Amino acid sequence: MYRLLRNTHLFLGLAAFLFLLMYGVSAVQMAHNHWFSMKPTVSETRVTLARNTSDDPRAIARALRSIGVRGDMGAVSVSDAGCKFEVARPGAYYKVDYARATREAKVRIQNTGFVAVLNRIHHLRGAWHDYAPLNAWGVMVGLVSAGLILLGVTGIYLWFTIHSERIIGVVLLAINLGICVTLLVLVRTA
Amino acid sequence: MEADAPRYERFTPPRGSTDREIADLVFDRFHFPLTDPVGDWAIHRDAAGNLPLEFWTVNGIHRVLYEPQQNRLRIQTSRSSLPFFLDDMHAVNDASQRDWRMRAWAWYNHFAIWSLLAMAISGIYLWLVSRPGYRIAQYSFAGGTAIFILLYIATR
Repeated sequence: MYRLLRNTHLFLGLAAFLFLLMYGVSAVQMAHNHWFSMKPTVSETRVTLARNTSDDPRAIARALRSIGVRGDMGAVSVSDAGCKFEVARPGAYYKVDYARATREAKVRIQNTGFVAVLNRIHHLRGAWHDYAPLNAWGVMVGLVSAGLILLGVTGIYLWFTIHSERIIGVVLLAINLGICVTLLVLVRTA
Repeated sequence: MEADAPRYERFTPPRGSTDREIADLVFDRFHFPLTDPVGDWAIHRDAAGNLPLEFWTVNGIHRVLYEPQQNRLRIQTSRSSLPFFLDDMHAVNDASQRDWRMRAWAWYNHFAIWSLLAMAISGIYLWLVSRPGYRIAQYSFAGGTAIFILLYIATR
């Protein structure tokens, strides 16, 4: 049993290492926003779409992939004059304004740096996205979340098997649980 | 989020009060638990000339609508379910909040963030000093790292 749980703890921890680092670093960024520059670089470009491209926003978004517009679509609004929509993925945000008369799409592009990408990945969830890589992230962060719980449980077991560290461990665990549960109850019942 | 039935209270601010002053008067009057005053950015009249004020907490939202025509406040409280409460609690990191319980929780979260980083890095260290040649451990590390990097490249 000990051997199995020790290996499970080791394999899980090593496989999830970069994911845990991503959660940790992005959480530090959110807690200490002023430590990091999150300012995006903004640019704008205009693309004239081919005659055979439909006026449908999805078709326009597909056509714009050639200039790197990839991600989940949102905020779609269609009018007689054309359509507007947004496309977003971690680290990039596009605002598209398409004019039907000229077949021209004005694309406003915001690109962010590495830490901002980690921030967006931190917030990813689910597998219902238009953009396939985001679904893969959703599956992976789900697995890592379950793995993190298992890491905690196996970690507690492994500590408990070290007899010389039981007393200090019990004291630390009791203090931690005491603070955590007390604060949760105090806040929830406020 | 479950919402209570709205209730009404009479309210007449001093003549010439700004919307900021009205928001502060409402805050001082109710002192909803765990709340901070409404930020300047959130103070604006609606199309009917009423002043909506939202006091957000991890337990839910206290919505107050100042209706100057009726000289009254409409108060409605919504309560978050337990999963939403826990979700909001995990994101609390502002240690400058008015309520001491929220400040204490923010510090607890700060401690948890650094602990997570320390746990991840010390875990790698312990592996390297104990069983660095263990094949399956090497494959686990390489596999997890490769998936992360490939997904990162595919996403960017």
